[in-house]
Amino acid sequence: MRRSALVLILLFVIFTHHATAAKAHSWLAKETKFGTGVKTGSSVLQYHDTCVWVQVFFISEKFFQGLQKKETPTGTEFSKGGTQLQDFPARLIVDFEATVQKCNPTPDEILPPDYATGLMTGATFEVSWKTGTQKRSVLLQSTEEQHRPGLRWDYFLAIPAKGVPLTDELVIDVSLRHGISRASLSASLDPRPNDH
Amino acid sequence: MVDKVHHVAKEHGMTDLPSYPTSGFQTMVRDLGNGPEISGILVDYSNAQGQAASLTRLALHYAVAQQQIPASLDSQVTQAVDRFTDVWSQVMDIILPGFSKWNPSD
Repeated sequence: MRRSALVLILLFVIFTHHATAAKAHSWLAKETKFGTGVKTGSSVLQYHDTCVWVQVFFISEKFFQGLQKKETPTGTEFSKGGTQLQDFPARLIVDFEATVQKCNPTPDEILPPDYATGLMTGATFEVSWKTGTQKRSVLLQSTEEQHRPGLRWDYFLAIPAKGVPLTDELVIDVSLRHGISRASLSASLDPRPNDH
Repeated sequence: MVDKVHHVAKEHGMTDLPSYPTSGFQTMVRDLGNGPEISGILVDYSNAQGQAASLTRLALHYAVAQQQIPASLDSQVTQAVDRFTDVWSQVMDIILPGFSKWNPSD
C-alpha cells in the first residue's frame, strides 16, 4: 500500500515536472529600441575569408515578453498570461544582427575598426512567409541599418504580419555587396528539425 | 582607414586621439608593444578570436548544408562571438581611447 502511494507520488512529480518543462520554453532575449526581441534563427554567411555570424530576433514592443510555447498532440500552441495566441501582431520588427570576423584569422592580427564595411554597408533584404511548403513574398515596410564603428551590424526590418500564424516561418534572402554575395536563412518561433 | 576613423572622430569632438601603428591598419600584435596594459589583453584577444572562428567554421558546415545549427553549438558560437567582440572593443580602446563609447551618429 505504502509502495503504491510512493509510486503514485513519483508519477505525479514526473508528470508535473514534464508539464512545467513544456511550458517553460524560452527564447534568447535581446533588448532593442523597438522592444524585447526573441531569437528565432541563426546562420553563418561566408564571403571569401569573412565569416558573418547572423542572429535573427523577432520584436514587437512587449508582444514576445512572457510568450510561452507548448507542444500538444494537435501541434504547437502559443499562449501568454493564460490566453492562447494564434497570430503575430500586425507589425513585426525583425532584427537581422550580423557580426563579422575572419574565418581563418592569423593569431596575432587585429581586425580594423572598419573591417568588412564594404561588405555590410547597404545590405538589402527580401522576405517571405512560409506555411509548410507554401511561400508568399511580402513587401518590407522599411529597413533601418544601425552600425557604429565595430564588428556588429543590425538591420531592423519592418514586416507586415497581420493574420500570420505564429507557427509560420520567415524566410530572409539577404544580398550583400550589391548582390555579389547572396544567402537565404529562415527564422521561426517553432523551428522544425533541419529547417533552414 | 584608421585615418578615416580619426578624421571622423575629430569632426565629432574626439580631439585627443593617440598615434597608432602606421602600417595601414594591418595592425599586428607585435606593433602594439609589450607594455603591461596590452600584453594580457592580447593573449585574450588571440584566444577569443581563435575560439570564435573555430566554432563559427563548425556552424558554417550546417549553414552550407542548409541545416539548422544544433542548439548547443548555436549557444557556443553566440558566447564565443560575444566574447570576441568584447575583447576586440577593449583592444580598440587601448589603440583609440574612448573608442567603445564613441558613436559618430550621436
